[in-house]
Amino acid sequence: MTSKPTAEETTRLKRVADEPWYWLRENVPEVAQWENALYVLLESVKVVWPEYRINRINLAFLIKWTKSSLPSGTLKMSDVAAIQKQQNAANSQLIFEVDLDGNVLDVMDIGSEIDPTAVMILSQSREAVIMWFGHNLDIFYKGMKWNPKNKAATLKEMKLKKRDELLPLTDYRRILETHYEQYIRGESGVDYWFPGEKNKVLRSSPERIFQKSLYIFLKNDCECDAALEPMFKDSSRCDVRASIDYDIYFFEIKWIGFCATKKKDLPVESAEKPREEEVKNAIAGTYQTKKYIEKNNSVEYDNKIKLGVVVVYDAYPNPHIPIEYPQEIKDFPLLDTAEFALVTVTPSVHGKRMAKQRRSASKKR
Amino acid sequence: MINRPAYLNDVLFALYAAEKLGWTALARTHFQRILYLCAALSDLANSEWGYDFSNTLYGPFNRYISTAPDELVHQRYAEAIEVTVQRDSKMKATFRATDAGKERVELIAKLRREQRRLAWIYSVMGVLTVYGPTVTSKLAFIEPTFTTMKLENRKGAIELSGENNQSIQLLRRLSDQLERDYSIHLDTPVSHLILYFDYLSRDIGRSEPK
Repeated sequence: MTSKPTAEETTRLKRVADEPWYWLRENVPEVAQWENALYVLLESVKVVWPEYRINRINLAFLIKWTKSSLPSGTLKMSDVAAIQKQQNAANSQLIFEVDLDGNVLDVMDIGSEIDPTAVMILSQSREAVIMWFGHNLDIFYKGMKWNPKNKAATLKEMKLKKRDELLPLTDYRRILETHYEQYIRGESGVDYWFPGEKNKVLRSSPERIFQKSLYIFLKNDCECDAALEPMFKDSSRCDVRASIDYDIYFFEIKWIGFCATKKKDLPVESAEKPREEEVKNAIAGTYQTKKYIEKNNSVEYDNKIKLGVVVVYDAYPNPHIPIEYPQEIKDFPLLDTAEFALVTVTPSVHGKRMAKQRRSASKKR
Repeated sequence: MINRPAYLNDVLFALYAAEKLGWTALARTHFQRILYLCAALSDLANSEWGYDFSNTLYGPFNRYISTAPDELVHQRYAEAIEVTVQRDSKMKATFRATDAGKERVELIAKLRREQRRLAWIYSVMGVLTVYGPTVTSKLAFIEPTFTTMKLENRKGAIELSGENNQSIQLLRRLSDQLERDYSIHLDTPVSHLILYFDYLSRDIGRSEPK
């Protein structure tokens, strides 16, 4: 005779099998608030795990449900060699406490060599999530091992979760603001001030820097297809084009203020006699954009332009934005403008964190 | 040269696979992008794709695939849902296979050649399930052969045969390196697909939007 689980148990078991995250949500209530951060942390764990395996030094990371901005120099989970060295020197008795950004906040010496049982017991007594890097990669919580059966579904959910957050092109203002906060403000993602002339003089050809940065952001982080300097029907070019489901948006990048110059045929930039780009040049740019739209949106062309956006970066020490555009520009329905000041005190906390992540990611590549 | 029903069959296969794999209903752009990726990588399945895609402003495009969903709706093998008519009178819709459409697929797939084609579309979409339709669209737009043509401002049909197929060249380089440096042998078309899409999508969604 065989006994069967109750109806309630059956439902519960089926849900765990079908939705692995359900187990975690049910058992780790802290996850609810930190779901996104945990997904990102698990993605980065996936990246560093193969590196950790090579030296076969057992490690355990106890997750603290917090995100912190620590000064540079703090040990991170990605510092494989340093963490393994520390563990080896301590005879494998350490458990590393990390925040959701993978920063090591503290180290606990348990007085004997760590093993899965010790980690499981500790996760039970502390009601903590502990990641075990041993022969396998395991996750423990409250003494239980999280071992979802449906790994493909977990992977799908992790990737989709991350990528469903791609910014929609229809929300182009949010795209521009997010790009500004994460990549531009306070040089958080790209360097554009001339060395030694911060908040005064831009590097030469700054439009190239802003163009490329916006293009990469649209390409990687927004729900659209992006192209850099694509050609229009009349053989003219815009700076960046983005399209989604046959709707075209394009972005013209302008800047105002001063930039360094290059002498003809010389590669050296100089800020001695900077070139000024005035507000009137930005306004002239909007007229040029209006003309582009009118010429390339005729009925005989199949490609319909949904909107042209002139993006102005203001590099004047005393910002000149907002710009008062002529009524003709304001009234043109297929044109919008957006302005951002480059002279700011500091990058946003979020911008700094993103820049740091990008730098460490590019080092790895 | 391939005859006209091939476009219809392929779009119907994509709808059928979408249903089986639990995808949301597909829009016109999705058909173009999914079938373009199937075509670009069809060398892995040792098959000739049979029709071309053009390099257009909107990405890889085939006009018969663009109109195939309408014809399938007319034949009652598919139904249009979430229909919106835009100000310029263009119609946007998503599509899914009807029961008649699914039966039709099962009938067509009795032919060995069509069975292989359906299996290939199903395999590609199966791997792409991890990424979802949005990222799939982006992956087709950054497919290396298409990207190279765009960079060189070359118009016309995207050349996916032989040495011109940059995706296959890229895959060869990646799998050779895995074999040489790590003794990892990719032995199935699906393992190649997993590697290819993971590599191609490496930068997508790398930031953390607010």
